[in-house]
Amino acid sequence: MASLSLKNICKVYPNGFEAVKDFNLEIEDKEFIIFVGPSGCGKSTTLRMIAGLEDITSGELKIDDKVVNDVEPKDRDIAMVFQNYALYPHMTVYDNMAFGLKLRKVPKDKIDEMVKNAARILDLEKLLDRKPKALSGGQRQRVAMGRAIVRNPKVFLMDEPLSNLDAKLRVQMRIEIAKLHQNLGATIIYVTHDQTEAMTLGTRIVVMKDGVVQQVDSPQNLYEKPQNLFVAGFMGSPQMNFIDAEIEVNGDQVFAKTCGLKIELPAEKAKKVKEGGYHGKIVTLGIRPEDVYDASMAPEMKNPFDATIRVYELLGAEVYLYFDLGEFPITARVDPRTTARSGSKVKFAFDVDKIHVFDKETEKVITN
Amino acid sequence: MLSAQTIRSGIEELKQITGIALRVMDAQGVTIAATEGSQVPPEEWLRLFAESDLEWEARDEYALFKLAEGETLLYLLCAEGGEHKTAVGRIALSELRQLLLATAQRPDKETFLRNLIQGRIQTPELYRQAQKLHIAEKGGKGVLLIETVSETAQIRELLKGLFPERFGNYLLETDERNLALIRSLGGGDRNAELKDTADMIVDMVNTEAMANVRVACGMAVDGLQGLPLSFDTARQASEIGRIFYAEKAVISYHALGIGRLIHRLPKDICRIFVREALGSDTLPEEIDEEILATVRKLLENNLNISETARQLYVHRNTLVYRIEKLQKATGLDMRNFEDALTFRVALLVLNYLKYQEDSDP
Repeated sequence: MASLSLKNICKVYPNGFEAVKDFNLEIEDKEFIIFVGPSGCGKSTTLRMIAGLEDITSGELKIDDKVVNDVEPKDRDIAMVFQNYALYPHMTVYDNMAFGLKLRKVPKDKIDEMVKNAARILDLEKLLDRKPKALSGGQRQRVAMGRAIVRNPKVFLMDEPLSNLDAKLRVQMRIEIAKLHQNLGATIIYVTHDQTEAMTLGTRIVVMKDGVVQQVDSPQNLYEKPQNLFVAGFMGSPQMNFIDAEIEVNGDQVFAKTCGLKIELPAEKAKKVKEGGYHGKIVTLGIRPEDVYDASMAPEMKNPFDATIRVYELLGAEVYLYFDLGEFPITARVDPRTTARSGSKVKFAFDVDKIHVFDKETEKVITN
Repeated sequence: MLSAQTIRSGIEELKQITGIALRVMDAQGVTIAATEGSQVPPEEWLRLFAESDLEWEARDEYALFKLAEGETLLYLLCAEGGEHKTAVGRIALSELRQLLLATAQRPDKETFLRNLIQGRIQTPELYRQAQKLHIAEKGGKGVLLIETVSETAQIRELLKGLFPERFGNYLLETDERNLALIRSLGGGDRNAELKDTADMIVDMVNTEAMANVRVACGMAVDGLQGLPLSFDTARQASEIGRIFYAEKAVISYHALGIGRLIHRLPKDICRIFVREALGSDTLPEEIDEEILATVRKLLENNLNISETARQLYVHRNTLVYRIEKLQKATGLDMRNFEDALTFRVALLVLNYLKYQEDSDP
């Protein structure tokens, strides 16, 4: 398997559209790296530059310390799995997996060995004689994966490979891909717009927006220590609640005042806000739905406030309560034993230790 | 006419036997098929030879030959390298003649369909030949134009596997780098189905052949008689896509946006518009790449200066300075919607004019 190095990579199309700007990343051998971001953020373009399917406008791309900017895709020792896969309808599973190797004139006995090996890894051995129409959706997807595995590449590139599957199959295939990563010990670069997929699969995640890398970090750090408002809002479902607040510094005490509430920030957060010179300024507070409590079930929480529930959503193991705090819509993820229902007045409280504070103008984090 | 693949297999075999590189071009000198190691002969000489009365001519490393049918020049053939180039060229020419003869005598699906999509077959003849060749006349159909950047053999093989003929799909080589797929369509949203097929082709060629392609979707049509329209619209989509949407791998005739309108405008009108909008025939020198990038971002952000400045990581005042620089050079204020729209259209028109100039001989 392989390591990759992307230095100052840019992509500008002939019509001037800048798809990727100054992308820098070192990928270790056997890492499972996820590129995540909204549509048009440049994640697929970056992957296609790694594949060699798009020219790199400027910057340097190395695979295993070798510069490959001008190396043909077929000579980069990579394999790809993309979203719009199809199986050859009149070929068996075996032939479907072998076809790419036949095109590249790999000897027959070698093809046989590689196909059978891939079939074993993917548990497709019993299906090798079947035609695509006799396969389930999950089995077809595994055959598509098999076509990549038979190449025995240094790096796997996957661009939204599960997007065309239904929700149940997507979860099942997610587990298959995670297992595959463990079994192959492969370096995988995986593009998705689905943050759940990103969080569950990646060893590290690259969050992108408008062609610019916003943060590269482990799933846990991205969730707990987002570096800006975009990352905070993008990672997590339901997304983080955002509330504008005015900062008041009083000695060592720092308060965030919003919608009639005066929230005292914990000492460590207070220190950073104070040192940043935010007294009298408006900041954005971020709080995850699971850190908003039904105060009747968490009496230890300070500063409870009243709110009227707009929507009650029972998901089985948890309940989402939607309400407004002044002009700011808030979602709370609470215990299903709550007695709160749509239209009822409930006391809520924030876990202030979990509050994130962002600069309203630069949108960068002040304290997590 | 012969398919590029037929010609290629013929000349490849001769190359293997004789070691002489061969290249077959159409009457305009555009390569249809070439063996490995073959170079394009000097353009000017090729043109003069095509216009001359000579049947063949040898110069330096090259020997050129003509293959005509009556008064019509069909192919130019070039044999290259080695003392036997003239003899091998003659053998290749003879082989091409035999192939043409055989093709003329034998009804052939590929030739029929190629002539059909190019509008060379009239309706009564169309049905007669379609029946003879067992090609379904009715049902939804559409043409996809597949432009490759590398040689087509592998891609052709792959697409033949994905779209077998027995399901009513036909793959044709239009020249050395381009393929046309006639796709049989179902009863739903046929244009959406064509677009989905195009997306799948791009992903499959990327992953299986590890090559890049661009696919242009024509209009979905009813029956064989609609195919010339579908092919023509696919060609238009391909050209407009190349000019205005270079970043897209799939371009559909149904989603050409403002590029469709600009593409229809006469060049003179375009030039007058650019002069009127920018005060000159080209972008003023002061408008450098930095200003253009700023303008693009400003347009992306609906002329929101603060958001644009944030995304460009520049101070708001820097952004305003750049906008004012552009205003000084063109008279257009990007903070004003109408001026911004005019500048945006002017940029697209300039793109179009540049493409036209580059492609004019």
